[in-house]
Amino acid sequence: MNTVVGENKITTLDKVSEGKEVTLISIEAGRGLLSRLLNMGLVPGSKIRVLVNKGGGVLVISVHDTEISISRGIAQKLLVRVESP
Amino acid sequence: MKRITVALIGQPNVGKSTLFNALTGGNAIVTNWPGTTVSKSEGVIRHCQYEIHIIDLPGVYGLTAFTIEEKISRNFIVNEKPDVVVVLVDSLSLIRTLYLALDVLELIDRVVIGVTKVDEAHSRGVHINYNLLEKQLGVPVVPLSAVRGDGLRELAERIISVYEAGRREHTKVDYGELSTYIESAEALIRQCDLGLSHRWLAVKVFEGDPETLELIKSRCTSLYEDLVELREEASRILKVDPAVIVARSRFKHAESIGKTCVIQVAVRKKAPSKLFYHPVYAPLISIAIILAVFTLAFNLNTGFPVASILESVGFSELAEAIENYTISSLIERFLEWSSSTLKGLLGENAISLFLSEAVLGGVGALLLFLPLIMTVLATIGVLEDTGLLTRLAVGVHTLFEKLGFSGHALFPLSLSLGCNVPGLLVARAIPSTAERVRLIMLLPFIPCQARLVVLLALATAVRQGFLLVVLSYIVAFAAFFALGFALYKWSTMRSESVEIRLLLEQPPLHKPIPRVVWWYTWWHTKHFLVKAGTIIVLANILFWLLSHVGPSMSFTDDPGESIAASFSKTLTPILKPIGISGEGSWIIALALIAGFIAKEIFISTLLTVTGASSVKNAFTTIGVSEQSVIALTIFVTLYVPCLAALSTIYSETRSLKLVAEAVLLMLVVAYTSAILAYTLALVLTL
Repeated sequence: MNTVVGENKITTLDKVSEGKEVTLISIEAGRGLLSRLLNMGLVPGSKIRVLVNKGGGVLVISVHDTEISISRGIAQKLLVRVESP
Repeated sequence: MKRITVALIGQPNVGKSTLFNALTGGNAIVTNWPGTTVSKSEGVIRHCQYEIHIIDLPGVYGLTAFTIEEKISRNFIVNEKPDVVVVLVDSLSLIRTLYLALDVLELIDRVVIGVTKVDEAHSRGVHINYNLLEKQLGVPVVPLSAVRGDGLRELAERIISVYEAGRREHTKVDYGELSTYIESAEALIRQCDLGLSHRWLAVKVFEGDPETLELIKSRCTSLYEDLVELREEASRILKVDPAVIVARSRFKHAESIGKTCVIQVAVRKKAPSKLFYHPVYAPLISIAIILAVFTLAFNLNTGFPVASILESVGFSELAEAIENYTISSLIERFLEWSSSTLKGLLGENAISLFLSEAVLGGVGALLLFLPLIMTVLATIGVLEDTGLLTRLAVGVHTLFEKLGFSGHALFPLSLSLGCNVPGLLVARAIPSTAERVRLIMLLPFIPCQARLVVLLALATAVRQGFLLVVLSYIVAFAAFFALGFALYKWSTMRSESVEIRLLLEQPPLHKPIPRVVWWYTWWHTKHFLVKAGTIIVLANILFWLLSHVGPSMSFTDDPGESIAASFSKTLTPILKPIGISGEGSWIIALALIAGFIAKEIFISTLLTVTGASSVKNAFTTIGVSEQSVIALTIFVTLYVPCLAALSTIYSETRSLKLVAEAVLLMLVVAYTSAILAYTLALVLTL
């Protein structure tokens, strides 16, 4: 389930609860996937809003005004910083 | 007339195809990119003494190339050197889509930026200062609305003015801490002129673009090691993958432009419909929607399943009325009429038979399926255009994941219900190679409209015809998913890359635009026509000749005396396990060979050879029991769909081994299932 994250905590995207906005720090992925993610706007420093995260299944995020759905496995590769509320 | 070659490029979902169609009025020439099956569309517009040739490039997120599409788009721009490049950016997500534009602007002299969907942007409170944007980018910017046709003329004018104006300075993005490394790389690359922007090449080295590295390795071998070394050094000292720095800097640049040029007025933003993402409801809703729209399309085509249900509960008159006005029966009547008219005009001889059966039969088969396929494609077109399809893909992902497929598989799967050929082609978009190959092997199990028509014809020969058709679909889908799961588990055991991934942009939901749906439908229909069409017509002619020429090479009226018949007779022992034996059993074997070419010839062969007026009578003549018909129906559902599908599997994989494996798999599965069905039918009717 969703882990409660404190102030300025670093975690992976799949653990961020719905409605929260986080900043992307880094991506741990192979060349092909990394390139695709970067080109789609998932660039370190980008603000990501988690629109849907049910603790299982697909996540829906909004980044640079675009809605993107990503599988949990990919979300686990995205390291993010949760800013204090 | 001066000729200008223009490359049209844009990220997925920016509305590129829509704009291309609006520009060329749908009069595009569709071919394949050399050595691939990726479609290449080319259209011409004429404007004040200029002939503008527009080449639609595959939608890509950036010029760094990892997939087939990315390689095509990148290489066209880099190697073919079009006169002008038009980059489309989306007014609804300007910053993100400017990313690709910046990548192009760093390389190309003559660029025009088209800003799409401006009609929609306005209603969403997005206002863009185009003059300022133009100033900041240093190239012409044209606001466009493909749906309303706004800006198309201006785009043509701007293309001409850019073409005539000549070179401009390349855009320079500030790459921050990586700048010094990029400059060093640039200096190295300058020693070996490749005819491309040195800075752009340097940036691509740090992005790890495989094509650029390959080019340098082969043309500037002595520099290659140094450049790779430089890249590794940057990575080591900056402690970040240089590709990340490049992307981040480019985005920063796009963002700074966006901040000054875009004003977002607060309008009430619709929250994303979470219904499609609910863990329990989403799969249910998705499957319900898919079933509903396909039932509608199937019914329009063939009357199945509504007419069949009405029939089985006793409303046979109503069922008949529906069946008489389905698309397939209307066309069938038209074909019967034209065939008899032709025979009437030319009299009964070898030539009129050849024309009416071999030629018209093949063309007719094509004509018969064209509208059926188009209905299914239009249905998917509506789902796609509204943005519903990608939501449905997410809806089924969690379910599909357990079976070894991702939500991406929904597109090829649903297209295959229309025709396997476009289904196999769109499987290309699946990011994981292993999953893509699995899908290509198994998609032929999905019954297309041609098979539906054959199934419905076979169903008239048994008492519970409706149930038989439903059963066939269940068996087909069960085979698809069971084998998919088995293959998935097998690749897991061999510990290949097995993560099932989903990465999909969700375009905003909107009402379907009829013109766009039509473009989508026509686009995929062309594939059916060109690919399946040619093969079906030619193979039908060949098959007709084989079944009308005797071993002594003379024309024969009696198909039983033909070359095809004598070959079929050697195959009859195979039919024994499903209870088909005796004198006429070779006719079934012959029909099955015909069905290998294209399913629809199965029925016509059965009817012409037996001379029966209905499928039921044909089976009685040959002496096929009801249980055997059931087994035969299952076999027909599962074995090789048609030659066109096989040739598509080959062109998509370039592997004869894979085609052979797929055929073998289909035959084995079809045969075992048929024997099983026969045994079960015997047991149940004892």
